[in-house]
Amino acid sequence: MSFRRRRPPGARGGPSDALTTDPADALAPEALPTPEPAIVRDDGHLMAAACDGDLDAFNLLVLRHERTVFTICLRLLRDVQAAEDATQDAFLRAWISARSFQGGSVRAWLLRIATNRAYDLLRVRARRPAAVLETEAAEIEPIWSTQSAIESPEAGALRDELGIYLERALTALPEDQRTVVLLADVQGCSYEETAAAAGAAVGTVKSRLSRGRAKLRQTLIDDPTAAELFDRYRRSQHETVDAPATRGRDSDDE
Amino acid sequence: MSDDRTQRGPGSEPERARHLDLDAMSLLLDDALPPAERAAAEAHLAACPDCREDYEELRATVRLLHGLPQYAPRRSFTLTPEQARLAVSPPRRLSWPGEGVLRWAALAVAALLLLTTVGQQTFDRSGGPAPSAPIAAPAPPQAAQPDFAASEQGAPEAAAPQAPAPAAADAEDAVSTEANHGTESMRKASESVDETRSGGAIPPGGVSGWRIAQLGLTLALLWLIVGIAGLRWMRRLH
Ligand SMILES: [Zn+2]
Repeated sequence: MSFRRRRPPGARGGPSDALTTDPADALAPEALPTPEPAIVRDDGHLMAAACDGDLDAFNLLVLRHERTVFTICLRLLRDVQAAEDATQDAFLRAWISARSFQGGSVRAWLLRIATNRAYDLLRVRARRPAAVLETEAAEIEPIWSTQSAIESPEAGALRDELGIYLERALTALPEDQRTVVLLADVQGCSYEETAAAAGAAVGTVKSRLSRGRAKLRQTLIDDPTAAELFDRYRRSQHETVDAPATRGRDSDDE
Repeated sequence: MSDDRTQRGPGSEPERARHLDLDAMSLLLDDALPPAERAAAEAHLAACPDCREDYEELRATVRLLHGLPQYAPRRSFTLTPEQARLAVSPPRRLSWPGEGVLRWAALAVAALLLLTTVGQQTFDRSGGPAPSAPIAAPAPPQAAQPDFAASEQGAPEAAAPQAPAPAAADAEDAVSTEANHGTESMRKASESVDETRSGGAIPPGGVSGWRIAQLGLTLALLWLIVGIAGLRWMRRLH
């Protein structure tokens, strides 16, 4: 009674003391056998369980983050098979080195492992001709980000066309800027997450991001066709701001 | 605007410094500027068409980036218990530990090679083929009889070096028989002068022992290097 019980979040405890004010103790295994559906376990708890060898907990993390990890691997490698290999390898490595997780964002930690793996593969394949993303990506189903819901159909169509130019411009970015832009702007990581995933300081991330964005903008407006599309896209954006939100991409076929 | 100038443009280029730099625009896009700077930046954007144009372009670029698709993988990457078990117990059994062992072996062989080279030179200088003798021992067939004689005297190879002084007589016997370099090596080294004078056949036998050892070690080292390179290659392919 007098000593303080210390128990990792995922560990099984013995019979708990009769009276306790700690709400976590109310969820002792004896009291409530695995209240899994009721409680959404956050990444940190799942990670702690994974450190104790709980594969199910780890696989929940895999399910939660595999799309993000796969997407960034695909953008870096521009090859579906290679992206799948890198993603699988990244999760295997994450499982092996789960104990080395230092806290913070699990997603950032996974993305760091995955981008490192993808860049390793990129360097190995450096001599091979790079596959083009648009042909490779056609094999798999794109999941459009939620932003499309508030765009006009015209803006959506323009954005799709511009996306091809943008993907190309991304591949031309220096590696450090590309990583940061993909993490922060494409995957929506915070500065802190991006810094952790890129292994850089937050200040470095900010300046890489700003330079990367500026370079992408310049690449778009340097190409005559892209510049015209870009101009129309910007004008459609201004309209969208005033117009009520139109949703139609999912229901209507254009 | 005068506020802007006093805040941001103390240098020699007040006109340029007044404009927003890319970092400030980028931070403003992310709503990450401190309130005071943010107010100043917005005031400047309202008044400066050039910066506003840049800013709008950047904003559209970031919006496009936000809108790039996410991709659903064709399969899930959850680990099977088998994968998890294999991954944890011997991670990369094929390449990593193999390469480590090979590397240590290569280091050891290289050290041995160095030792034999140094040893050969040392003993060449002092005139005796001493340490190589055990290696060369099986080679000369005529060594059988003197060997026999030496062991009859109760001084086999192991005991010999421990008692160099009383064994001097033995040594002379051995030297006279000329071919007993297999067993009495240490003593012979000390009697080098006699040896070089009388034992014409001994140095060639000793040198070939060194050479054989060096050749073997070199071959082993080469094989190890090839093995390490091969493992690296395989890992890269993987
Ligand atoms: Zn300006």
